[in-house]
Amino acid sequence: MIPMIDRIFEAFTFDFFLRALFVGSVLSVLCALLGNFVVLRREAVVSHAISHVGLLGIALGILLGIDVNIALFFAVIAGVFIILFFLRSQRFSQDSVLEFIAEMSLAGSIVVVSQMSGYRIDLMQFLFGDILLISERDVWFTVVLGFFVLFGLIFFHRPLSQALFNEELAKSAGVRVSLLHTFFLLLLAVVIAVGMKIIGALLLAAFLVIPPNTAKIFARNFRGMMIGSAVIAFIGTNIGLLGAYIFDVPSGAMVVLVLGGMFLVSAVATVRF
Amino acid sequence: MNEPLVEFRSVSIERTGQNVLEHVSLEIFRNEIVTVIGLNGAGKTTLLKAMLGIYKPTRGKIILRTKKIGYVPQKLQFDRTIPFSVLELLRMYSGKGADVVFQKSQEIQAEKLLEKKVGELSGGELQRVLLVNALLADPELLLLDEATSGIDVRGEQQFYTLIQQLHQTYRMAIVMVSHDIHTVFAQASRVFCLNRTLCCHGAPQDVSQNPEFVKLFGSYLAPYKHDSHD
Repeated sequence: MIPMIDRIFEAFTFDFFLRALFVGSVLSVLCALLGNFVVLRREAVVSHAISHVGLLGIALGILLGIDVNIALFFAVIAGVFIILFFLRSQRFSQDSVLEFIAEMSLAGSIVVVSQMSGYRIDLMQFLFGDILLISERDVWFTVVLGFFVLFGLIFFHRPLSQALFNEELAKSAGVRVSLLHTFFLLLLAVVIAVGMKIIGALLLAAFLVIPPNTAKIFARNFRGMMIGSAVIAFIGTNIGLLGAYIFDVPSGAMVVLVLGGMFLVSAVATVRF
Repeated sequence: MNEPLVEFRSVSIERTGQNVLEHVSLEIFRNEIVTVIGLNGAGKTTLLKAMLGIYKPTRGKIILRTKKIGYVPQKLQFDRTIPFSVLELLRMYSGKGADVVFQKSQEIQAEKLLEKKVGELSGGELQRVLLVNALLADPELLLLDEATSGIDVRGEQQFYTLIQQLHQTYRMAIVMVSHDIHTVFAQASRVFCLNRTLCCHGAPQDVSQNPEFVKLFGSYLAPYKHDSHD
């Protein structure tokens, strides 16, 4: 027990861990807030598809010698417009389009990485998340992103809720549903791009979906669900990051396990027979 | 006569390459109850959505002389597990304060539903809530798209009585889409019979004798024959 407590205190002496805690905390709250709308619209697979396109962007960035962050950012933005193009053509079902884009991007990433030697570990870090990846630049980027996303959510909260709860009612109220959906997906894409470093492409969807679903168990209204999800995500992420440091396991996996544990305990404890 | 509140001038609407409405011309005036009838796929919902501006005409012109439109959809597709309260939903779509929402809900005896979760409402309760939502727009034009589908016969009668009361109170134009011909004829001042084109229209008693209408709905109007019980 005492060695574990020592390890916890030790963690706080490292700059990289403090950076990870800060970025992880901000990101967890942003993901949880956006996650409420993802759950509302039943679009968990969208985040899955966007993160996989991001992975392809990273692979291409490494191959072409472009800054990985820039490649990732442009890839997720491009991913949003590719998804919207297919969805709005109304020729294929939503789940087919999203799975197609996710799997094609993953396959593309694997092929690109197979042609390079020595970079496989880099890609593994983006697949499962690594707290060692968080640089000082990421901290500043997260601060700017945090303000941008929070401003977007506060300022557009009402029309976003209208558009994402029920399109028909929103359209009848004069809300520009397509424009807001695009705006929402762009917000989501930027958060996913930052989240990929700490949580990883394969686990990000869980980061978005688990806290809102845990909060839903206790919430009496949507406002309560949003606030609850942010609190749950913040607590779960901090415990998960500490666990990742103590047990020396990938950060994304540990955070998702903690969040998943909180969900399971809450769901089981509130079952009515 | 008054200037029409809504005017369709030879409106055609195409959806996914198919004509859903063809050369529909009609006028809706203030303070009248109009019912749109037609078989499945006749373009009834498309007609309402064109009035709402959700569908744009491929050809022709739609003139709306009001922006105050209330809309009650046929079904509300949403995730029933999301804990949206009725009050939250009504405030979100109307942008009005809790006191205004409460007052409007009282008018149609829906104030007890405000604290409930939307996903826990019965079909009849949900329609009432959607009606409050439509009324919060202070509508001059109220559009009801098969608003009683999924409600039992008693609930349906109560709903139409409520619509009549609201019409008398607010003197707004009401456009109802319905499949229940008998109820429709009892409620409406004018009937539009739609089959992608406007087959016939006029007072209920005139429309009921129109050959186009009889051709479309003849089997529905025939007296129902019970099986022999002896």
